[in-house]
Amino acid sequence: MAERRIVAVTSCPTGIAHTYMAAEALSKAGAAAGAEVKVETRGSIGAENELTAADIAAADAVIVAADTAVPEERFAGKPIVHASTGDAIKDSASLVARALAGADAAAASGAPAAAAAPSGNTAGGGYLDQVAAAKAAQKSRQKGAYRHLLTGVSFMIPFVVAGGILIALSFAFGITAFEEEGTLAAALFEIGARSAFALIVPVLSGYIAFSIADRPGLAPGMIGGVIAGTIGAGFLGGIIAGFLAGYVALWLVRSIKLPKAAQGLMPVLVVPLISTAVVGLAMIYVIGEPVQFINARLTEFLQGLSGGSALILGVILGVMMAFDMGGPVNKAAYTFSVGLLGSGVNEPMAAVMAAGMTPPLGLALATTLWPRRFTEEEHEAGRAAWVLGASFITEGAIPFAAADPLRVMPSIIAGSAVAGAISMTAGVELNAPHGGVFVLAIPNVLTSLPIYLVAIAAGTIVTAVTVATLKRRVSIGEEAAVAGAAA
Amino acid sequence: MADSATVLELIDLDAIDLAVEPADRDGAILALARRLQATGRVIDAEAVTAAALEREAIGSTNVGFGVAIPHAKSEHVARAGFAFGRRGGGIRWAGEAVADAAGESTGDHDVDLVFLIASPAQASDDHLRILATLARALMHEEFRDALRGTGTAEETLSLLADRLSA
Repeated sequence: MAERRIVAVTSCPTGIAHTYMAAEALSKAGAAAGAEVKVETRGSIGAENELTAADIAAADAVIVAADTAVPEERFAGKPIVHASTGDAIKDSASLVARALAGADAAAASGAPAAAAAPSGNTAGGGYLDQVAAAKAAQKSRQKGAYRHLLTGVSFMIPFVVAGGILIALSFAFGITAFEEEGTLAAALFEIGARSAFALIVPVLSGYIAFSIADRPGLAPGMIGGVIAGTIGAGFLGGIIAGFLAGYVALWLVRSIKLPKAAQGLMPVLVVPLISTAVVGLAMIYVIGEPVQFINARLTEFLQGLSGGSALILGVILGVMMAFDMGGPVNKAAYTFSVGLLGSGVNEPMAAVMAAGMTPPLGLALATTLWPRRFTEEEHEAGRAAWVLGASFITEGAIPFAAADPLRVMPSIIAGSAVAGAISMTAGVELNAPHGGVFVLAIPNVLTSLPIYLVAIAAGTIVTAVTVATLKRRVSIGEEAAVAGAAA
Repeated sequence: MADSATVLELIDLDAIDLAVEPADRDGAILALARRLQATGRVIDAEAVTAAALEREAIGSTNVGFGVAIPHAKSEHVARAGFAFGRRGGGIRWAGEAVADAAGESTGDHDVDLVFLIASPAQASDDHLRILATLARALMHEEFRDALRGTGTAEETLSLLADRLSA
């Protein structure tokens, strides 16, 4: 086992003696416990032996031995032990032991978690510690790649919600109102669809990369995300771009060694240039080609199916709509159906819209009925998802799917398949390519509204029940794992 | 640590008292403050004692191991420095200062080694560094034992010079 590292800060009111005695005591106790301790002293000379970001990042635990207020933001996420300088001077060994125990507990639960209940605490620290501990405990369940994904999703959600609702508002002016240039509806559509929605995938991939590599990841991640949009790779392409960008940037930062004089070039030139080039080229040549291929093959496949079994076509259209929301599979189904509108075949369009509405609706229903299986952020996204789903803005499901693709994607695919199958089998026809509930009320746009509502409701319920079932199993499993690690 | 200044700039032979008379905290602090006044570092021993007691009120400077380090930062100090006092029979370091910042009394135990540190309102960083070195050194048992074992003030002074000028 590698030597464990502790960083500490000591501070006392006069800053003449206790600060330094506490520092010395902690260094001594650390050495005795076989841990490397670096102590920043904040005395009347000012801060000395200051902790660098690298010191803190490398530390397994933090000790704050202070009788004055010491800012602790920089230690976020690390297990912290609080004490007075008096405690540190008299019983530094037990402080070090508590810090190391906190580090072990954090390591056991997979990520740094605040541990080690503070005893000699500065006033008011207790509650903040508890909050920090609770947050850290929650974070500790979010491991590795999953945590990066969630970071990207949490930054993405506002773009989905704001953009989606503005698009829905533009539909409220009439389903084709946005096509009239210069109108408010056109402006709302411009903001929502062409601006906010254009940023969804870049923000997702950018912040996945940011979570992995910190600042150096952001540029290649966002640029890779824009390319994912351009090549039609959708949010799945964006996730690939984000992880690729993050790990490429991280690798560059760690492995390129420049002479000291040239080190300033690393963050402004070398890392962004190389990582962006690598990610961009990979997206275009490695991801772009297969995406186009998939899109083309699927379109051919659908053309082969038309005229055959309505049930099978409905199921397949439904599956495709929910599969990648904006990616090549979804686009193939949507474009295929819109193309058929021109030849007067309107059933696939109805199936596609129903299948595109149920993913956000089903997830919104699930967050309402089973709130405890979703995070606070997902509750927010869930409320917006009602509006987005009703407006046939399938993107409302992306935050859920991106955060937890293995459980959410099967759920929304199942619901959409059901919705598509019912709509298609019943022969419902729709001759508008978008609009959701806003077009349903318009005469002659849709045939047999009641059966169409049944299709949407059935798909919504199937998605909600499936996702709740899958999520329950998983969260029980994870809690057991955490409990096991803590025991 | 202390390259440009040595501990000898901070302590004089006459500021070392190996047989402190008073057995109570306030008396011991005043006795050491008077020594600092006699060597010209402190202008007003009473005022410095008052400042040191004020600091004791915030939190006892009895740091354990039989050591107390009362200190005063005051305009009644002419030049930074410290005095060292020893009392074989112990000095009651009972702080009516019950609660320090930790909410816990560190007083109520006898101490036998006392360093009274006096610093002007504007002390130089060099001097503060030496005091920091002293504070760090006190955390080591062999240094405390050595302080207890010296026979004369001269011996104590050279021990301090050896240990704190590195």
